[in-house]
Amino acid sequence: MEPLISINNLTKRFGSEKVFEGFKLEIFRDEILVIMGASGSGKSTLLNLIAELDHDYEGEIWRSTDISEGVSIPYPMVFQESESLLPWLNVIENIRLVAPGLTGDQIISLLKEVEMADDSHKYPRELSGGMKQRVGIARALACRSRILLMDEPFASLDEELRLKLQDLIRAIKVRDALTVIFVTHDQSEAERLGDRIIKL
Amino acid sequence: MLKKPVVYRLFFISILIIIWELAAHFGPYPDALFPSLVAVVKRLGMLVMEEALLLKALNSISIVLIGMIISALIALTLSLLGIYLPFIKENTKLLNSVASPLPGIALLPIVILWLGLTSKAMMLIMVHAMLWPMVTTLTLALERVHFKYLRLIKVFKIPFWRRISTIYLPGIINDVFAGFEIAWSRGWRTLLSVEMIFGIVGSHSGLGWLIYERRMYMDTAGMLAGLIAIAVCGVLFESVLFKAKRWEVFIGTTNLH
Repeated sequence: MEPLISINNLTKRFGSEKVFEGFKLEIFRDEILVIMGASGSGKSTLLNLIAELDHDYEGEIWRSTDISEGVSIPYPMVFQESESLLPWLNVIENIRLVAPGLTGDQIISLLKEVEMADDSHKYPRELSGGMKQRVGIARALACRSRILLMDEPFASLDEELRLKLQDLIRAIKVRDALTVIFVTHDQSEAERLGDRIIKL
Repeated sequence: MLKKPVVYRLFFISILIIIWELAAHFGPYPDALFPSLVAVVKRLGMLVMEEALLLKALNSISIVLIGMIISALIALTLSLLGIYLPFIKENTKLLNSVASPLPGIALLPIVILWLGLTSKAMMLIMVHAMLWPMVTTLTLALERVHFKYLRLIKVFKIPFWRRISTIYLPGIINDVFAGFEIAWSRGWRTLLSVEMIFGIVGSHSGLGWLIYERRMYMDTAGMLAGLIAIAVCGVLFESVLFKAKRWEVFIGTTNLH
């Protein structure tokens, strides 16, 4: 099976410190790949490299042309809650910020997918942590990409909420045939969510 | 029912008034040097009725406001460019560290030599007084907002102008007001000093000149009335413009920081 993304002999340094050396990884279509590791192990760095946010590396990162075909934002990401939504924009405006071409109805239908349609005019300060992350997911889905990157999105949420959102991600992945790359440091979250887990 | 802080203030002011009046009536100074508050209030009323005081206050405030707007625009431009152009960032820092400690009044002799006693010279001094605190405040604020939302900007490829209008400007609005507040206090003090030296620029003069002019007529009550007017303008300006908390609620940025 041809991978969607293939990383070969990746070396990444921060100053004199090597985070990756000769690192290899293949990411396949329609899978949930969970990247696990302790703080400072390079999880977010790897996500940034995959998302083309960081071009300062040695080695090769090959990406299938399918990823960027017909989409303007090929690597949408769901962040941790603290860097997630702009507090001065309401839910609809936060989504429209990244997808200005979407109509109000299209945004509402996206919000329905994450059960947030009733809160579309609320500001982030009026939302709970779980609700903010649902909006973050809807915002990433608004890009209509084939890939979804998630950087410890549920780290600050309680267990019950995490389970609900993990189920939501699974359902969306199956329905939209998405490839999800999910970063976490939580073993149980990785086992529950991942089709495949790699440890850094 | 009056709140406690208001009662404390009224009590303190009443004590000051009593002390002043006792000193004026029973102190060793003649009325011309140490007038009673009644005389000062009468003089204040006369100056207001003659429109001299209000016109001079408006003139002074308008100069500070114009200087503040020019300073804010320059500071915003430098701070925004500094995010993307290291050359601008480093040289703005350098200029700020060199120019910020220089009080505007210290530049006055050289500015008068170059530009004369003109409104341009006065505005240059005002901009110098207000620009650097605004540069410091806005640069720090923009850097904070930029780095907080850097991944959002990069991941979702938010175009430059939308970044400015939707992320940077709303993100720093409270800091703009904080910058205005610092700039105002520096600018207001500088202006009053400069007005005393410049006197009348064009056909206008301000509160600083009013005090200076009253001194020439040995009008102590007039000078004190001018000082009261300066204090009242300062308090009014701050209470009207710098209630940043209200803006915070208004634009919904309470959980920005």
